[in-house]
Amino acid sequence: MLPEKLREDFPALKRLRNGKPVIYLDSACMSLKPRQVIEAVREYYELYPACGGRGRSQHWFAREVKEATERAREEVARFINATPEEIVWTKNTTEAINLVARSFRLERGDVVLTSDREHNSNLVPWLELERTRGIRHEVVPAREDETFDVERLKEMLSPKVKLVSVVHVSNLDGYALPVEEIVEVAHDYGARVLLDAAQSVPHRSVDVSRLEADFLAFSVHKMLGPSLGVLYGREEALRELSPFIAGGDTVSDSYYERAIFLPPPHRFEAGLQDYAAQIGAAAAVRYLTRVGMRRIEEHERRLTQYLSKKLSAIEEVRFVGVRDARLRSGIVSFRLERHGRSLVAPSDVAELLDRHYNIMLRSGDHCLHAWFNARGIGASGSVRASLYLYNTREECDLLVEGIERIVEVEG
Amino acid sequence: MGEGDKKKHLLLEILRSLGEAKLARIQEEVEARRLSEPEKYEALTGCNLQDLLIEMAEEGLVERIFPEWGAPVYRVRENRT
Ligand SMILES: Cc1ncc(COP(=O)(O)O)c(C=O)c1O
Repeated sequence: MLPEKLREDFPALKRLRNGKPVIYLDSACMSLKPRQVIEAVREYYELYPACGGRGRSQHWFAREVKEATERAREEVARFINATPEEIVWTKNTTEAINLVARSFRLERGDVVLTSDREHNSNLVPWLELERTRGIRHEVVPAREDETFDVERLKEMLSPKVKLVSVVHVSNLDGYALPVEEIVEVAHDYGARVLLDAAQSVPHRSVDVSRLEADFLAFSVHKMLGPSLGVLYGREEALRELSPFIAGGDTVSDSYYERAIFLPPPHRFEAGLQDYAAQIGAAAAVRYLTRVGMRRIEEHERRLTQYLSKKLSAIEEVRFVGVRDARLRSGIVSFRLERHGRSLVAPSDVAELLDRHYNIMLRSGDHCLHAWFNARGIGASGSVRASLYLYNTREECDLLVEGIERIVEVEG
Repeated sequence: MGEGDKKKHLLLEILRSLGEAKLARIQEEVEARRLSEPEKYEALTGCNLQDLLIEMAEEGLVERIFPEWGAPVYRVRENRT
C-alpha cells in the first residue's frame, strides 16, 4: 500500500465536518489536487499571467508562458510515451472525443463501433453523427458476465467500419477492456481506434506506443490536475483530421480568401488557452510519476479487492458490472437489494453516507444511462465508490460500516 | 404543460397511488410504468427523481419527511393540489 503520508499533500483532506474527516470516494468524477499542482497554478497567476501561443506577444511574461506550456506538453507526452506533437489540449475528454467525431473523415453509411458500456461522452457524439450525417453507430454487446466480447467484435467488423471507439477502463466498475486485442483486430480491418482513457490514464501506466491506438482521450482533472483534457493522436492519424474549431493560433497565415492551417497539434487549439491548467497538468504528471503509476495501480487494486470482499459479506449488496470481482480496479458499483427489489435508493445511500459519515461518493447512472436503461434500472442506477492513491483501508472500513448501518435501519 | 411540469404531474400521480413511499419504491414504480406505458411516462426517462422530489418539496407539492436516521419518506401534500 502507498504511504499515508502522501495524504498530507492534499489540503482538501484536512477539512473536518462535525469533527469528522473527509472521506472522498468520487475521484472517477473529479480527483483531489495536491498542493504541488495548486502551487504551479498559483505561480502562473501570480508571476506571469500572460498569453502564450504562437505568433502572439513576445515580451518577458509571454516567453515564460510559452516555455512553461511547451514543457508541459512535453511532460504530458512523456507520461504516456508519446511525442509533444501528438498531444492536443482540449477542455476535457468529452471535447477530445467530439474533436475526433467532428473531424474524422466519415461518409454516409460508414460504421462506428462502440462497446455497450460507453460514457455518454463516447456515445452521444456518434448518435449525433447518425442523426445528422447518416453515419451508422453499432454497439458490440457484452458477454453474459459483462466482459467485452472480442469474438463478437470480429463478427461485426467489416470494411464499412471506419472507427472503433471504446472505453479503456470503465467508469461503471473499473473493468479494463482487452484493448490490445481490440486495436489489433480493428486494424486488421483498416479501422482506426479511439480509446476513451478517462479512467485509465489517471490510474495505470499507459504507453501509447505499445497500445498502438490511433487516438486516446483523457481528462487532467481526474488525475490530480486542473480542468483540462488531452487528445493524443498518432501523428499520421492526427494529420487526417480536419480542423475542429478554427480561429487564432490554428493558422500560420490568412488572406481574405483562405487560411493556411498549422500542422497538428496547433491546428486544433483555437484561441487563448488555459495556460494555468496546462502548467498544472505538468505538475500533476510529475506528482504521479514520482509516486509511480505501477504503485498507484497496485494500491488501488488491493483497496478494490479489500472493499469488494468486505461489501460482499453484506447480503443486500448486489454488485453492478463485471461479475468477477478480480476484474474491478479502482471502482466498485453496487445496489442495495433484497429479494431482487431495491431496498434503499442509491441516491438515498449517497445522501446518508454524506450526512452521517462525510463519505462523498456518487449515485445514479454515472453518465451510462444507456447501460442502466437496457437493464431496467435506469431510474435508480447504482452507488459508486471510486478510489485513488490517497484512499485508505480505514476509509473503506467506514464505508462498509455506513452501508451496514443503512441496511440495518432501512431493512 | 412544460416538460418540468409534466414530470411533476406524473410523479404526483405515482406518489398519490403509492400513498407514502421512499425513493427506492418510487423509482421501482417509475421503472415499471415506463415499461408498461412508455409513451405516457417517457417524460420521466433519465430524470433525477431525487432532485425532482426535493424541488417539489420546496414548492410545497410533496412532503419530505425525515426519520431520525434514515432515508426520507415522500407524501403528496394534498391541500396544495
Ligand atoms: C469513462 C469516461 N469517459 C468520459 C468521461 C467524461 O469526462 P469529462 O467530463 O472530463 O469530459 C468520463 C467522466 O467521468 C468517464 O469516466
